[in-house]
Amino acid sequence: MNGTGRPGDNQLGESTGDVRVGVYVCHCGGNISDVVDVKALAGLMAEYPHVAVAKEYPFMCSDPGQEIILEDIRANRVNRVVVASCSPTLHETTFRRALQRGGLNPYLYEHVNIREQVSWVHKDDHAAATRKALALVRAGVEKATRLDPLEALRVKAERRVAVIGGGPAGMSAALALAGAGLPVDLFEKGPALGGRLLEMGRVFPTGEEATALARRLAEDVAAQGSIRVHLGGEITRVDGYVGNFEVRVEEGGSQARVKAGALVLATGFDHYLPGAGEFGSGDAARVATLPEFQKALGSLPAGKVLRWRGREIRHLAFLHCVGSRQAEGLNPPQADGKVNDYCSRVCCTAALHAASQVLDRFPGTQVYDCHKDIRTYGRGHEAYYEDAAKKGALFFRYAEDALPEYLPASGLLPARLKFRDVLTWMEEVEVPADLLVLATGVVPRAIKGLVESLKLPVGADRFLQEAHPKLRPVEVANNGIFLAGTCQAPMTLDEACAAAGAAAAKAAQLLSQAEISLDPFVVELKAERCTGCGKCLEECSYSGALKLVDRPLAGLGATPPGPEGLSAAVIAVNEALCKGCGACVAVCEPRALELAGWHLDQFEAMAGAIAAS
Amino acid sequence: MANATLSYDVLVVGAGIAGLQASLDLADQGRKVLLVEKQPSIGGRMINLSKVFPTLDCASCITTPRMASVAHHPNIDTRTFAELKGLRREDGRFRATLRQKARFVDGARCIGCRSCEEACPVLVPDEYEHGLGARKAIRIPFTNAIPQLALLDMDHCTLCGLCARACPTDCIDFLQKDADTEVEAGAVILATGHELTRMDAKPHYGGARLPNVLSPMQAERLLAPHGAYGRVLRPSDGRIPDSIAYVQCAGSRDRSLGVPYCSRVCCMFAAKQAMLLSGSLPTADITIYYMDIRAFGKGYEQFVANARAMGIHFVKAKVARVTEDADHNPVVRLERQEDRGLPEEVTHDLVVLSLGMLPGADPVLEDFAGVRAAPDGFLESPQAPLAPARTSQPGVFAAGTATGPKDIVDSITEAGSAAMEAVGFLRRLGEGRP
Amino acid sequence: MTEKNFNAVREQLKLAKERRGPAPAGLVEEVKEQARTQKAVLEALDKGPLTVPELAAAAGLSPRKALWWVTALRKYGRVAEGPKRGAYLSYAKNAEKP
Ligand SMILES: Cc1cc2nc3c(=O)[nH]c(=O)nc-3n(C[C@H](O)[C@H](O)[C@H](O)COP(=O)(O)OP(=O)(O)OC[C@H]3O[C@@H](n4cnc5c(N)ncnc54)[C@H](O)[C@@H]3O)c2cc1C
Ligand code: SF4
Ligand code: SF4
Ligand code: SF4
Repeated sequence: MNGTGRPGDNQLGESTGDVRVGVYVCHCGGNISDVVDVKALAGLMAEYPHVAVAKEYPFMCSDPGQEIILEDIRANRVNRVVVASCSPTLHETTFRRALQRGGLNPYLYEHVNIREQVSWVHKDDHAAATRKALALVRAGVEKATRLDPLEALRVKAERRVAVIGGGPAGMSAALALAGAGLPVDLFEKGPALGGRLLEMGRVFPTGEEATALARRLAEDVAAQGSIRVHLGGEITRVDGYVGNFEVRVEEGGSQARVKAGALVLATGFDHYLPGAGEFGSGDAARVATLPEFQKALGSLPAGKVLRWRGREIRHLAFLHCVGSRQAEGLNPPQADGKVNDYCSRVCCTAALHAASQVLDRFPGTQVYDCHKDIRTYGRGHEAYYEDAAKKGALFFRYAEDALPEYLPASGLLPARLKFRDVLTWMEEVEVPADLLVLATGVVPRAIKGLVESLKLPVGADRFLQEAHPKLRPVEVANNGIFLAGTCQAPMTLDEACAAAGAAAAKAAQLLSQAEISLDPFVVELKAERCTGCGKCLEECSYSGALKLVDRPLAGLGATPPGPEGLSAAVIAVNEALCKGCGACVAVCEPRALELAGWHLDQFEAMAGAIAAS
Repeated sequence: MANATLSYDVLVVGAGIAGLQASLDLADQGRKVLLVEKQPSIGGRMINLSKVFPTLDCASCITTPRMASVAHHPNIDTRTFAELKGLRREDGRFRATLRQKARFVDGARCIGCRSCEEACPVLVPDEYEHGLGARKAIRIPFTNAIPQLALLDMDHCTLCGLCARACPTDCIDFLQKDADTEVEAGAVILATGHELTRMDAKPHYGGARLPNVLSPMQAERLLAPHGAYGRVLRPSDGRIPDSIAYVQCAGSRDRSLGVPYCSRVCCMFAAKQAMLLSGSLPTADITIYYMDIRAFGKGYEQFVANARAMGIHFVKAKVARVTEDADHNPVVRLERQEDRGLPEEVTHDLVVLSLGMLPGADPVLEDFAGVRAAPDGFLESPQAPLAPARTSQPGVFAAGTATGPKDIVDSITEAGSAAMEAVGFLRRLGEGRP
Repeated sequence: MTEKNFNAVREQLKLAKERRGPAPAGLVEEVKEQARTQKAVLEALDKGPLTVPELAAAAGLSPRKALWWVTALRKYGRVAEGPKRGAYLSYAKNAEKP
């Protein structure tokens, strides 16, 4: 790993002579310019010290926008760039790359957010918004004049991927990676590959046997020499960082350690389990969950009416959204105090698929379907809805402001489901149910150990949280870890397999070169100032990023002894594990630690500029 | 070299978000990609949107970086305003005929200065603004188009020559012709996207006839920060609307139109547009007439809940027809489901028809190496449950809305999976066992 | 255009006209009509900012056409948005561009 570029000492004094900052104010369509007076802003910045040019443009991120910067680097000898636009999460890298294309070090760039931080939040006071934008852009220029060129960090990467979870998504990811020439370790804690497919009946929309699909994938996996399958082992922990993960697994009583450059998580989902008494659950003869029903359905002999646990089922009711689309105040909270407010995506189609099979095979059984909305959105899904309707299923839509009530059988009355029905103008109805099938939703599988050892981000819905819900659905904030399938969100089988392919693509890109480059914004040590007090160790939340080591002997590192000559230890930084959060910098009294690209004197200058505005 | 056929690892057809993502996923693994787009700019539907559900990110802001990454990627060549015109398998590889349509501008010399556009005297309804705005006969397609090359529309050109006189680099070429070229690739990804149902597909909804009945894309342009009007106005007279309604499933889930399937995105884009409308017109009344709200994606249910909380009215109703009154106010005749279900008429200022998705390409008509379409018209994915990106032909993969309606995030994951299928196919090809 | 290309353009236009034939029917008329409408719109706006219905009345256009014209002229910098009047916006000639 190379060090970072040399900051700190190289301050304004040394480079003042040729610091030429280019300032570019973006309209963001009208997102910014409708509120901030971008022309005035650019005009004022043109006068600011060290600013060589200041311009405004409708979309700086567009190709012609970037071209303006490149042209100024060429023609106006601009050597520091400040773009005032949207959030840096959107476009910081866009502009850094532009600098690179223009032959400048990409880190001589400062991004000022005048959209989220100005125009969007100060819509009603244009003058004040423009003043605030000016202060922020000035601060940006102050920082830019103090920037040093940095080099990306380079980490050697293990050319091998660990896929955790042996369901369809895990197997698909493994196959895609092996297909791209990457060796794979596939970990499944159960005794066989297949995941949830092993306990399902027929799958929509093709009607194939789930177990047959599982077998097909498992055979393909077995045929790939480059996939090592680990069955029945519990993963005890995962350490390391991008390019250098280590998975520890209990296999046959002994601990095995497997190295991997990237991780694909395919840990899947659990079925929602209704609470005791939730819509009658607990009465196994009269109430079943959809997964139970689906699995049994295939082996029930066809006949006039459906028979379930010895009873004739003349009236079969499906209840949708059990454990999903819950509302606070209406549904009792889950164990963590929250309700499952999301839609589980698959249960509508699965329920109607089951309903249409029942109607086909048991013409004497009347089917009722009680839903909030019917969400048969996918390719071929709507056909089950149409089919069930055509074959005589009756549809009810329960009002969303009250939960349907399960009334147990009493005397001659069968069990019923009671609710107000939207489709019959809010009439109260009681739907008879010799068997009630609860279309239970999907919850993420509990993977507490992995979440904790890898510090994985988890969303409010308890699924693993992707880096960007629109553009980066299979990446997480942690480098080198990718999500395949339902550990990220509810999905159908084909969607989970597509996500697995996408996760494999990201892992393959990462490992397509022997070294991985990382942002250089990590902590830097001025070893001569470090007293070895270790306070920073307590602050750091990323284990392994900092550690106390013996001070190298004089001559080797040419480090003078500590101030008192007493301490024998000094901090060492593992740049690949450091996230650049800066928590340690704040507690280091002798100022031995600084964050590359975010020096304290840069902050001081920025604060000064804002205060002066 | 003059006659050598250009050769690539993968040919990607269609530069919407699916094609862009598939190209990047391949190029970042070191594969050489040719990306072909029939429109004059890359970006597909997404670059034309206002903001996207459920994050409400501005679509321009999140699409342009992807477009720029593609345009600058050393492993990706891009051809715009070029169409795939036939694909054949020859000796285990694919040979494609590409038709480069004439721009009447020399792409190597045009600097995108827009001098020609300023000079041209002919105004034409702007397709990028879906007719709401205007463009010239020669123009740069839109501000953040990639590439920034002018293009001349010969059907509206008077051959007055003003543009050529204004052009500082002499790049206008009135004699340019369409040109066919041949390229070769080891694998192909079809990301040919979707079209929308025609506005007049259901004539009793008044689309294409009543000025204040809009397509959802026109509504996107009303809401886009850089859109035609720069704000929300109604087309008949420029009035700021006060009451806006959405008609859901207007073109989907309707056997009479031959579109029995659900288009998956219209519930969500209606909720999104309604939220954006209520943001820019805080006092306006916004109603969505629907049958089922299909908010099944991650975070979507919560998104719709937010829309309800903002005061958007979700009304379960069947819309029978849309007419207009003397002032061009659309009148919606409907049957509510919550109340007694009696027919009623509600007058709005503006009505948006939530049109559905149709296939963007016909693989048989366009001769895509024997790739088949399914009965719904989208590309068939015969191995769907486990390998959704495979088409009926080995070596040809599909991504995004080419295989059926899909939102952006689902198109992106499918693109990744198509890229990996292509990589696997190429490796087997290299080992002689396709 | 550079000087030396003046003749080249003329030559090209001649060839292009030969190849394509006369300009599409109606197009020349349409372009003339556009020039007249544009003149009428800009003249109407000479007297001060107008809303779309006002402009329509002043320039003898349908309100829908009037909106399309201010949209077009705004895009090409000839017209700018003025203050809101009731449920309408007003449009004025752009001071920066004659
Ligand atoms: C009104 C509306 C609003 C929407 N809002 C959202 C939203 O907020 N969030 C969201 O997630 N999704 C939204 N969507 C859905 C989103 O637009 C699609 O998911 C996305 O555009 C699909 O991308 P694609 O690449 O598959 O297709 P497209 O964007 O259609 O791209 C396909 C490209 O292929 C090109 N092409 C086709 N045939 C050929 C050929 N033969 N040769 C060369 N090129 C060809 C086309 O020109 C086109 O550029 C919305 C859709 C609509 C209609
Ligand atoms: S898919 Fe259907 S049943 Fe399942 S949570 Fe969503 S709406 Fe409810
Ligand atoms: S020659 Fe055609 S494109 Fe050029 S200015 Fe004249 S009408 Fe416009
Ligand atoms: S997404 Fe909604 S509006 Fe669109 S077709 Fe499906 S149900 Fe209808």
